[in-house]
Parts: sequence; structure tokens; C-alpha cells
Amino acid sequence: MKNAQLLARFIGEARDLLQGTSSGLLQLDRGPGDEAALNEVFRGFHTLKGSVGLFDFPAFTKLVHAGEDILTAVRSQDLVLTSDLVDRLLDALDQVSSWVDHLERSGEMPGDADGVSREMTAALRVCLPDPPAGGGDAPAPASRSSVLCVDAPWLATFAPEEREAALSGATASGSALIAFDYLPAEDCFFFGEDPFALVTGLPGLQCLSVTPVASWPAIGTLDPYRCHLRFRGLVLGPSDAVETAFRYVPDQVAMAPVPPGFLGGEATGEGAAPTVEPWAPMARRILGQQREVLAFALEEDGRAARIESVIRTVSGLLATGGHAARSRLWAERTSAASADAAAMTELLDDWLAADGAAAAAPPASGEAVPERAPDRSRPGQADGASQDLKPANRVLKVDQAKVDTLMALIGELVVSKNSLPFLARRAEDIYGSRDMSREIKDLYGVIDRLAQEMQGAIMAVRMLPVSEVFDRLPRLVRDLARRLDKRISLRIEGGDTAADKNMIEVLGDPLIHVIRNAIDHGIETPDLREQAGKPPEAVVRVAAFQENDQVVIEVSDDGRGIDPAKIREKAVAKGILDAERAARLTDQDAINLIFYPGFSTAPEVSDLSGRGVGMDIVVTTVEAAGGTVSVTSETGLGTRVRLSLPLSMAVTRVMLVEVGDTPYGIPMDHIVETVRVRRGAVRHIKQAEAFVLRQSIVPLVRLDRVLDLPDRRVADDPDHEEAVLVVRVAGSLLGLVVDHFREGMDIILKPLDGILSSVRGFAGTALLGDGRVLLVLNLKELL
Amino acid sequence: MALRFGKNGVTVDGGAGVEDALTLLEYLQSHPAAGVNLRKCETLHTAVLQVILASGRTVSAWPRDAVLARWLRSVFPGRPSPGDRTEPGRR
Repeated sequence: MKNAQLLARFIGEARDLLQGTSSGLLQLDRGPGDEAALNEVFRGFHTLKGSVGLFDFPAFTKLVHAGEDILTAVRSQDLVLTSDLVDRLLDALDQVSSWVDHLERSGEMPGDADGVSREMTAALRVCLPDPPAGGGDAPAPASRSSVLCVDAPWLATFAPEEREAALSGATASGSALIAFDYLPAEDCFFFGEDPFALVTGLPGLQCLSVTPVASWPAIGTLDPYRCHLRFRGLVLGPSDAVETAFRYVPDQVAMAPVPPGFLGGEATGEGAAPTVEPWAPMARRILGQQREVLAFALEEDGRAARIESVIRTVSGLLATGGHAARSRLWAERTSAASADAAAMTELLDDWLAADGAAAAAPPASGEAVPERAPDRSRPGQADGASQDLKPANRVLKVDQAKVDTLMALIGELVVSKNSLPFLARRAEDIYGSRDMSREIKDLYGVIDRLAQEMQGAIMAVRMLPVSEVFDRLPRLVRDLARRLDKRISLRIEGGDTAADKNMIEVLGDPLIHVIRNAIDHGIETPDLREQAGKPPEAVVRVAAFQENDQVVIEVSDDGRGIDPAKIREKAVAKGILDAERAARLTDQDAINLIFYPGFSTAPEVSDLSGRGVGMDIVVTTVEAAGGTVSVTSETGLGTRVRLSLPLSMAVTRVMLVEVGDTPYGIPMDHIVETVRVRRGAVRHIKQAEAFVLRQSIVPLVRLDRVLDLPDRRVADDPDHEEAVLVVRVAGSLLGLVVDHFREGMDIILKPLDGILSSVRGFAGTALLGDGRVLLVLNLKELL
Repeated sequence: MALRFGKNGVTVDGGAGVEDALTLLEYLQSHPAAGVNLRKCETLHTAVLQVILASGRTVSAWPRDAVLARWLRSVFPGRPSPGDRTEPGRR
């Protein structure tokens, strides 16, 4: 159960990391020198690796580990980050992201994950300048383990009697004694690591010493959230068991087998060197790795550099290990054959084979390899990182359903408090107590203010920056541009503009559709652009800003624009209009035809945007959420699409009107004005009625007839004034005849659901303060 | 919260987590003579251990948990602790 929660948290966290990491990668692709982006990407892979380690998903771990290794090489400038490499890393992220989706659905990795991971890991590791163990099959920790110089002074860290106990333990159990030196990263606490628990949890731990890295600072200046400790110890057991225990911090641990000579307390000296010394396991592994590097070098470019590196590594190993004879042989072979890889491979094979039998025996050689100090600071975790992390801890992740419940409850409260004024009136009218009425009204004032503040607060909780959607765009644009051989730079502005979460969600698909359209149809190929005298790199600009209570997203490009003449031709060909009407359309009206269902101007249906779903889908989606879409274009210069959505759809402002004693709500954004029209001023045109409003004819519709209310006797008094609500529906003015105008009010609109959901003409319902149900009209459907 | 603060010292009861480190540090700063009683301690996060080590305070009693006590003793080498002698007798 607990594990499931942990997994759920991991999934959320992994998604965030994946998002941030891939945008970082795209940034790197544009500017490879961008150190901040590089650090961000590295941190993404690193953290993913760390958190996935909580679970048993080796395929996942290996893949992100390979990515991390690549980035380590890039950071240390051993590797140049090419576009191709960025592609591979992005592919890896995509794979990881699909695994995360799978984990969310089923709680486990897909069956083919191991195979996929092996392939992708290998594809990544091939790019490494010095593949640590060739291919991706090497256990991850092996590639990073450092070697440690275990000598008498080092062992003197432990008390003599402890060392003796450890030695007797080693001889009794027959297993090797391993020394480790663990220098946790300073910021390890932020990664949920607990070095002391890790170390004391080692099976077979014999001796432990914990010392400060430097001398202790004054107690007043100690930062308790940074680890200043160094752990050294002796542990019994096969070295891979110890490596497994440290598998998540391989870069912070150095370990080596303890030569038995040192354990007696006093160093016993070298003794007689055998003619063929057996290799220590660590040296064996290094030789094996070097041999594999040679195998790689035979078929790869840059072999000279790799062979050079092998020669250096092996010479270094031999020089420090006291293998004098072999060292001479090696020098001879490498200089004489002038870096003949085959000869070197042969020699290494010889050595490794000769040692095969001896390897089974416990490690004995007193050879010491220079200590490579474990990497103290986690790369990419500069000092600022911990300061960044502290505020991040103040952010709560809350399930949206909880926020929605809270909002619904606040909505109920808003509605219930509206009944207090009714109660006050009753207290005065029926019970005749004016004082009581005033008290209730005072109380109402307080509750009203609180309710409004609560409503504002909950709205703010649901507000998200539009960058939630924008973050997906760079990847989209890059992929499309590469596929279509176009050069495009994406400029994003106003990513921090906030809107309600629902709006952000509504916005996602239309926005992507519009951008696809712009790239596919709008932007020309670089040579066409140059012919037209434009820079070969096109600019797609996505800007978000707030305008009154609307959030506006503008997508503009500097492509070929929309040609109204072509649109007219197309519309006629498709039978949407006849030629005469098409010719009468203004250019803007012609351009608006692209919103017409089924309209697509691309000569061929591409798999990008022309999928039979045109801009009409964009319009439908946005309008369903109460927004509008408009497009303007200049031939040859570019197109601008403007999506405008309400900031929040939780609260709707309506005006109440009364027809036949029943109140109806009409959304405020439709309403133009209210007028009184003398019945005598109503013109009858056949069946229809109309009236003149400031020199234009406005058709008149009687709401009671539209709603099929029972016919009422209409007095024929020409001086009777009709209450007419002038509304704008689908761009044209219309007069709605109602019985009475009532006040405007904010309501929480509940859509009709269940059996009522098929009833057309109503946007939904809301509760009035006196308990009556208000029907809110959807004028577009109704008329 | 696994820490109980007294006038003369702090008692760790149960598991002390990383979130306890800052509280403990502030307490030790304001109580220069306070000792640390670990008798009921079950787990000790590195961050808390580090605060105790850095403060140079005496551990007045070692944990009942033998394994934890053993490693903690080797972590505080050569610090005379009054509870040190009595503790083995308790086991």
C-alpha cells in the first residue's frame, strides 16, 4: 500500500523532471554552450536515476544512468553534444515517459522493457568517448567505482582490537575484507539519502569510523542540511555485495580489498614478490575494460585517441602495481608496434588468461593503486541548489479532485448565503421584527465578504501559468521543423500568464493544432523564403497575455500567409459557396472560411496537420469553453491566430430575466443592451417582427415562444412597452422580448447531466438564494 | 517528533529523522551544557548524528538497540560518557 503511494509520487515527480529535462535539452540543442541548461538536464537524469532506485526497475535505471553518463562526459567536455546525440537523449526521455505512463496504468514495467532498455542504453553508451565496459550490459556501479589505496595509515583509522576482530572474522568466514571510503555528497539529505543508515545497514560491517570532512565549524555556523561527514569502514563479503549496497552513490564511494598483510595490526612488509603476480580484482576489471575498449577501437573512428588512452591506463596500472616485468613488456609492445591494437589485445588476453586460475583465490597482492578521491560535490548541484530546494518544499501537490470538491463546497456556500437576505425580508414582513432583520443583514455582510474571499482564494489555487502548455511546444516545433526541412525559431512570450486549470487544459490541443498548421502550411522551406527575400529561418511567435477577463494566446508566423483568392477558389470547388457569393466576400471573410467544417487548403493531406480535422475543430473546442478564435493574415507576410478564453469558467455572470413568472439566466457576454420598445414601434415583416435601433433593423424574438411557453393573452395596447434585451448571437444583433428585467448575478453554473444532458438550448442550471432553480440559456443553441 | 527537550538535556525517543536536525541544533545552541540521551533511540538520521557530533556533546546513554549502540559508540571515539559504563550492565 505504502509502496503504491510511493510509486504514485514517483510518477508525478518523474513527469515534472521529464518535462524540465526535455526542455533543457532543446535549449541545449539551440545553444550547446548553455551551462545552466546543461546542469538542468544533468540534474534531471541524475534525480530520475536516484528516485527510480527506490523501486526495482533495472531497465529504467540503466537507461537514465546511461543518459547521465553521457551528460557527465559532455560536462567534462569529453564529448560534444551534437543534434544527433540530443535526438538520442530525447528518444530515451520519450521511452522513459512511456514507461512512466505504463507504470501509472499497471504499476509495473512493460514486458519488453529490458530489451528496449538494453538497445537504447547501448546506443547511448556508444557515444561515450571511453565506453566503460562496452555495451550496456555492465552493471552500472562497476563503471564508476573508484579505487582506493588501502595502506597502514589508512587502516590506523580503526582501533587495533577492532581490526583484529575483523581479520579473524575474515579468516573464519573465508570471505574477503573490503575497505570502503564513502564521502556522501554535501546535498545528499535532499535526495533522501541517509548515509549512516546505509553504512550501518551493510551486511557484514566490521569497523566504522565517521569523521568530519574538514574540522567541525563552530556550532553556530553549522548547516544541518549539508552532510559534512566521511564514512570509512571495513566490511566482510564479496565486493559485488558491497557495490550493490552503494549502487546509488557509486561516484561517492571508493573501495578496495584489504591486503591481509595489514590486518595484523603492524604492516608486515612486502615479502618475496612472486614471478607472476595475480591481479587484484580491481586491476583485472580495469584490464578487461581496456581490452573491450580496444575491441571497440578496431571498428570506430578516432581509434588513435582510444588506443592512446588504453596505453596510458594500462601503463599507469602496471607502474603502480609493481608489475615490473609486465610493465616492460607492455612498453616494448606498444612502442615497437606503434600502437598496434591487435598486439595489445593479444597481450592483455594472455595476462587475463594466465591469471584465470589465480583469480579464484582470495585477493592477495599488496598492490596499491592511486586513490581517486570520490567526487565530493554532486556535479550540477551547485551551492544554490539547496537554497532552491528549501522553498520548493513549501509547495504542496494536491490532487485536483480535492480542489474541485473544495470549490464545489464554496460554490454551495455562496448559494446558501444568498438565502440570508430572503430570511431578513421574512423576519421583517412576516414576523414584524425589523431589528432581527437588520441583524441578519449584518451577518450576511460578513459571510458574504468571507465567501467572496474564499472564492477568490480557491480560484487562485486553480490558476496555472500557460507555460504548462507552452512547455510542450519547443519539442513539437523542433520535431516538425526537422521532419519538414524547415528552419524555425520559436519565440514564446508571456509564459507566466495565469489562467484556470480547466482553461489551460482546453487550450492545449487547439494551440498545438494551430502551431502545426502554421508550420505545415504557413512556413515556407528555406530556399523559398530566400527567394521571397526573407531570412531562411522562420519565426513562430506564441504570446500569451491577459486582456480584461480573458486570457489571449496569439500564434503568429512570418510565413506565406493565407491567400484569400485561393480560399475563394477552394470554397467554390468544395461547394461551400457559389462563385458569385465568394467573389463578394471581403478578404477577411474569405480567410474566415478556414474555420468552416471540412475546409483544408493543403493540396495533399499530410500526416501533420491536414488530417481532415481542420481549424473548425479548434473553433469548436475553444467556443465550447466560452472562448473565441480569430485569424488575420497578410499574403506573403504571415498569419496571426488569436485564441481568447475566459480566465476562469467557474463563475459565470448572468443577467436574470423573467418570462411567465419564471426567471431565466442569460450569459452576460451575449448581452449588448436593454431597451424598452413601444409595441407600436414593432414592425411586422411577414411572420417575423423587428424594430429599429439607431437606424438599423434588429429582428425581434419572443422568448416565451422560443421556449414553447403557454400562449398568453397579449394586450393590443400600442403604448405598452416591451422589455427587449438586445443580444449578440453568432455575430449578429437580435432583440429578445421578455416580461421583466431582473438583476445581474454571479452564479456557479452546473451543466445539465444525466437524462437532461440531451436537452438543447440550456447551458445549465444554478440555485437561487430562495431555493428556486435558475435555468441558464444557451442562446446559440436556442436560436 | 522524536525529540524531547528538557532543561539539562535532550532525549531521543524512537526514530529521529532529518527534519529533527535543525530543531536539535537550535536547542543545543541555546543549551550549551545539555547532554544527549539516546537510550530509547531506534534510528538516528545522519543529519541528527552530525549535529550531535559537531556539537561535541556527551551522549549520556547509549541506545538499547545493540547494533545501533555498537556503531554509535565507534562513531564517538574516546569520548568519556558517564552512561557508557553502566550501559553494558543493563543488557
